[in-house]
Amino acid sequence: MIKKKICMLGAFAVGKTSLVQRFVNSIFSGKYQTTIGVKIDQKMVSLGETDVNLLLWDIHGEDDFQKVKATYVMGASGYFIVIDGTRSETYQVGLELEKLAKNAAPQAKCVILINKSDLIRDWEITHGQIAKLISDGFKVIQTSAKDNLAVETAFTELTRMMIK
Amino acid sequence: MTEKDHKSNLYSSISLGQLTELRKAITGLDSEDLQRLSRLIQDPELFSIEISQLLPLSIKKMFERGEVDEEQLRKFVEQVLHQSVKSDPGVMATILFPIMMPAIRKAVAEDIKRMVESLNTSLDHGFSPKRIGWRMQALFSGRKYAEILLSNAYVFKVSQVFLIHRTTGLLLNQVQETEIKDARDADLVSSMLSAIKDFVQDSFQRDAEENLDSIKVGNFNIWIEQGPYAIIAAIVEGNVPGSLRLILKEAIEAIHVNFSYELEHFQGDTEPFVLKDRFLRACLLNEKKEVKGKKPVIILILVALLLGVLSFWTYTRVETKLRFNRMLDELDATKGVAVTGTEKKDGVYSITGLYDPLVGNLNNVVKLHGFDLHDVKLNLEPMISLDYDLVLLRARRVLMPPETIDLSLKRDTLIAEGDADNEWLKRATSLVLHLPGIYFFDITKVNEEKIQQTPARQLVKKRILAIENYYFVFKINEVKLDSLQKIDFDILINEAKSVLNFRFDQDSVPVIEVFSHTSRTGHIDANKNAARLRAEKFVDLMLHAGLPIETLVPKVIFVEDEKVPFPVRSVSFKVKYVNPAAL
Ligand SMILES: Nc1nc2c(ncn2[C@@H]2O[C@H](COP(=O)(O)OP(=O)(O)O)[C@@H](O)[C@H]2O)c(=O)[nH]1
Ligand SMILES: [Mg+2]
Repeated sequence: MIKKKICMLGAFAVGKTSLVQRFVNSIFSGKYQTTIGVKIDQKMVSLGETDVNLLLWDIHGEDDFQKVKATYVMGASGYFIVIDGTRSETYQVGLELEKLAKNAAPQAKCVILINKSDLIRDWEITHGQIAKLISDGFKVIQTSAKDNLAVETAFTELTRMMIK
Repeated sequence: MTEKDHKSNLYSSISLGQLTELRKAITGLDSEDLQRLSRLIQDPELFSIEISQLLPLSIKKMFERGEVDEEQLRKFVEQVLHQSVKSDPGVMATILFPIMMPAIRKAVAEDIKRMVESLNTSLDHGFSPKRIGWRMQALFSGRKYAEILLSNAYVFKVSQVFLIHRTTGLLLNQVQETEIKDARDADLVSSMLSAIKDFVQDSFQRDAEENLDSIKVGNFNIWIEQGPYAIIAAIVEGNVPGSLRLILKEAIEAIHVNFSYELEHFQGDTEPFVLKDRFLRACLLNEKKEVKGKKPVIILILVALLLGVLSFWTYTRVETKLRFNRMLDELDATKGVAVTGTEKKDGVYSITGLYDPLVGNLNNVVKLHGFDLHDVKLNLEPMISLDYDLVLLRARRVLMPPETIDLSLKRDTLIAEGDADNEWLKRATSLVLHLPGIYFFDITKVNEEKIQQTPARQLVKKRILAIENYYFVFKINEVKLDSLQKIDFDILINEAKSVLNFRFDQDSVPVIEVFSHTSRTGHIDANKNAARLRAEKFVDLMLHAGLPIETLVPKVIFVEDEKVPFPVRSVSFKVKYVNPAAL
């Protein structure tokens, strides 16, 4: 069995925790996360004939940057940059965090999630912005933690990129 | 004439023998000498060995001739070391760690050993009436003997030891005194510990070199011993002797020496650390060690043993019961599930109650709480739940609204918003009031679209869409429908039958392609083979359900090639219209 660390990065309230919650069956009580600022969950993913045990690190906090320390991202094999489709300011925050992560974990694979696709009619993020990300070489997936759209796909895709 | 031509002319006009002689005359080296030299230069390893034999000699000569001042050289070396330590002490520490630590430790080992010995004698009470009293207490209170023992101080134990990779926080290996049911929790605990360690170090702004060496969590302590690449964390209870620190240090050093390659190149594969474990186990110390060597009073030992076994038995029973209750609570709290009773017979729990098939597979809840499906049986009768979420989910499944429609529920009114065609609206209004829990259907916010297609065509197109939305995921090497998949399967077959009966025109007939999804990850040929078998077995199921064989086409597809990938090991469908001549 292979183990991999994955981090959730993104501005406040973009849906990081909801995405993780969708994907795993959490067993840890919320008690730890408030004190140490990070919640960790795990989930097994089977890719073909390989089993991968994912350890998902999700920051708990209300501010966008303060708590994202390099130690949090260090050693990660992959990370998600989560952007809230309905709030254009989360786009820039996401890109800044991407830079930070790239520095702390240069080998790690990245997938950008534009979340809240159930509210696609209220999106402020434009096609142009998404096209820009893709042309910059990013893998971009539109998700909805609320309606469980493409959540599994997103995690599987990142896992696949990591074990290649 | 080009340069090249010139050269080749030159070569051809001198024979090889002449050339060798010429070379020897000029350099004084024969071909054997030359070969040796060129081997040396090409192989850096050989070269460095050769030089290393010469270098000390020439340095010695330099000293003898007074060309180098010993004082000067020492100053230079000191300066370089100093610079290196100043710019990043970690680098030096990493290099020196495996070499220096054993030496330093040996120096203090004697002192510690003396201290530990005196501690041991004062700790060791052997068999005493007091201890037997505790064992009785353990029996009647249902607590573990060790717990009672610990609450009466004196002794300690190390109940679990983790080896954690430093940068990733991933668990490399772990050992514990008794077998733990769900070892996967250890992975979480490991990451947690590493996060806690970072947190403590960050929040107290300690010197990066000054490392955290213990954490207190509730009743127990976690002792941490850090090496450059990995950390040992030991869960300890009771009054722990200082000698444990030494043992942990020894273990982490031994691990760094023995796994230096694996640690430096760690990519998530923990197998080497688990397979060759000897060092962690040495850290699992406990009270037994001190009892050893006492005069055995056989009867007392037997009694103690028996009582120990009894209390352990009680403990496991209590633990299982608690776990079972937690699982029951979770089941009962799940929307669409109602537990009405439980029973235990021949060691098997059975849970009776009702559940709405829409909530999905409940066996997972059982497994998640560490129970085997043979030990816990779910005898749940299907029911229709009127819980808000389930009513809405059911409405979505049955009405199959187009993407442009949003459904929501307000008390007993289902509200549709958005654009839809008249066909859907008619179907929905006729179906909706059959849905339990819904009494009114609010369509005032629906914009009707006009569509020219005939209703029959439209319906078939809808059915095709529905068919193409189904997928079934299977376990490795198995094509078996569970009870929920069976329901889906029956609906699928019905939809398929009506689609296969309909032709859009004279030139084409419908066929159903049965896609088996697999991945290129791992062994491609094996994956492909497994996928092909899966597709064929699924086609068999469809044949049995009455679909004509000539309309079913099994196919294998790699998720890497798909636009929106289906899960690996799933089967999905596509309806295609082909020219009958091509069949
Ligand atoms: N509509 C919608 N809301 C979402 C989605 N994901 C998260 N939310 C909501 O967004 C808010 C913030 O989510 P949370 O997961 O706590 O964000 P985090 O701060 O990034 O962890 C919550 O109210 C969620 O219910 C989504 O996909 N769609
Ligand atoms: Mg969160």
